[in-house]
Amino acid sequence: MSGELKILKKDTIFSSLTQADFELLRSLMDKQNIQEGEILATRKERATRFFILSSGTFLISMNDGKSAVMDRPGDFIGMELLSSKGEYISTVIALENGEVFAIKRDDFLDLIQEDSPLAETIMLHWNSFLEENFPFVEQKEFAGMEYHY
Amino acid sequence: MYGLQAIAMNNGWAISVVGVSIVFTGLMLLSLSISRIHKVLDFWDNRNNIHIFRKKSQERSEPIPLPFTEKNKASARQFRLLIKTMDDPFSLQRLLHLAEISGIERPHSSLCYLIKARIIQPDHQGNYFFNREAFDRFTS
Amino acid sequence: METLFFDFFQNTGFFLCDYRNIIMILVGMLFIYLGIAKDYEPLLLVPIGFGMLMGNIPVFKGLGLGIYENNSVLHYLYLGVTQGVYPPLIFLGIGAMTDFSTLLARPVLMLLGAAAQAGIFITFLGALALGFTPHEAASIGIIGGADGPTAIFLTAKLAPALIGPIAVAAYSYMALVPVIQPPIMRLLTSRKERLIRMEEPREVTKREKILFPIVAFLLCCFLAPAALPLLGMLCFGNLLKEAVVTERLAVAARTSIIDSVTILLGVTVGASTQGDVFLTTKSIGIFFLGALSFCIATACGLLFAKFLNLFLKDKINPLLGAAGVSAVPDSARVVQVVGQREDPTNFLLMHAMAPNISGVIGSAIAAGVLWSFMS
Repeated sequence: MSGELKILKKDTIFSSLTQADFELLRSLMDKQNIQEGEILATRKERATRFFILSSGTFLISMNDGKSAVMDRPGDFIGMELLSSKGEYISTVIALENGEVFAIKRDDFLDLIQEDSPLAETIMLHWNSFLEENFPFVEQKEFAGMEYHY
Repeated sequence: MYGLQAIAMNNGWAISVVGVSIVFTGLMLLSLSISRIHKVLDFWDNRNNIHIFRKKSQERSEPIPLPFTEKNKASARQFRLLIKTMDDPFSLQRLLHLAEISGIERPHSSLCYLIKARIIQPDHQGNYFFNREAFDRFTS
Repeated sequence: METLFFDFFQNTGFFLCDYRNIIMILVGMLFIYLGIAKDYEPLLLVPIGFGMLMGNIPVFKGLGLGIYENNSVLHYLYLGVTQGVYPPLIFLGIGAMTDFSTLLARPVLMLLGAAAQAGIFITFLGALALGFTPHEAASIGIIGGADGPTAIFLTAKLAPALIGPIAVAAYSYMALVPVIQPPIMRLLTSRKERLIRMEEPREVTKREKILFPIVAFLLCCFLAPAALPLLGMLCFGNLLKEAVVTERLAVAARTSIIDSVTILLGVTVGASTQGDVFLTTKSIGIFFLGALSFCIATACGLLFAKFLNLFLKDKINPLLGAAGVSAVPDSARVVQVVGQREDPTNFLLMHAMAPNISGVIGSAIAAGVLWSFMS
């Protein structure tokens, strides 16, 4: 296992996954090096991937001027792609050079279909993550925004 | 009756001394209180960074002291000027945008450095505020 | 028919007039002239001046025309003065138009306002020495606070018969601040001291500005409860302003309410200065002591600033001490002018607003203290 994945396994929500689940998830991850100033996601664009932060610092900007800064290995970025609307709700910019693990939307949806408990674990952690890092964002239920389990 | 006798007869000295003391004490206490208000508010804003308030499940490690080069100090001062033109607390994305159009060198990493040095801190409502004490400490 | 004409003539002002009415009418005209032609505090001097004209029209007593007759219109309007209603409403407007951020940025400047209030108590002693009763002496002393509403409020409680001369003295000297203060400022400070530059004040957040009126009100009124009407309204007005969500109320307080009350206060105070009440040796004493009070308050503020500089690392320009008299914002402007004469690039106005505003609070506390001592 690479050093970055070891960090993920050790310090993040992934530490609660079984080794088999973690390996399954790992197979979907695509490591990417990110440069300072690079935009990973743009608000309102079709969301094709979500990211798990490995290193670096990222600015997540919302529509109303509010934002959050992500710098912990294991932080989620862009998981809103899982809604049926599939658009990013925030713009993600790298504030410094770093690394992320990208997971394609279709791959993750397949995972949900094949292994619902794993997907459910990830979604529950994602909700807690949202509450902690984005408490100012109202979790509204829009038509078409329901998660598909 | 006139003169000092009139003053003594009407308890003038005591009234004057006590009166001046009360006015002075009142304004001094008020002055002391208001000099503390912003410190109390800073403490309240930073309460999540104090370990007794930190949630056990999500502990962040303490920041490693950062070396602040002259370049870092210069860009910190430039960001400070931009922040002065904004509301308090301010939008971080707007600050980054202003930094880009103002021509600040490497605005993203400079901003990142200020966040790591806790000169810019979140208010946990999506906005950020400027920590003057940290700024003075790093740029002095 | 001649009898009818004679009866009619006996009721005219020409018949009832005496030299004191003429003098007061001339004084009223002078006030109107100073207010309109010279622009000396016109919002105060014009209503007071015209009120003097109204109050000194000789009228036959018993017809319910004079301000001191129970069933007259002027008397009902005057109740706002005698019952202490108008001054707190004016303070509401003052609070709603004042920005306390310079005070919050450098709280030590509050002490300059505190020092200037010593003039009130020194004048109180002087008035006692001249034979005034303690109530009268307290009302005269408060002129040194350079705060018209406060002077009227306290005089209405302690010595209502002297409202006319005390109000006229207070407002006259407030209008003459640019004349009275500069010589004292130059006498008590050196050129080197006048050149001191103040450091830039820190930024004050909105939350501090909202908390301040609440903290100030609770602290000061717990210490001096008698200051409740004046300080309560001052702080309330400021809270309305800073809260933003009550901007409509703040706008009403600092425009229509304060303007309406100023009109009624000025006219009725002016009308109360009738010749037989105003033209007495007591009034001469009041005017003399009022001027003294102003001078002493200015000097106390200046000297205290010099005293503080013995202990402070970042020196205060001692001219700011003169702004401790609560003639807002005139004395702050005077500080700016005197400072700029020495150094045109030295901007002291905003710094001077801090002791200026604390002088308002200090004079309200002093009035409350004197009222509680005399009651």
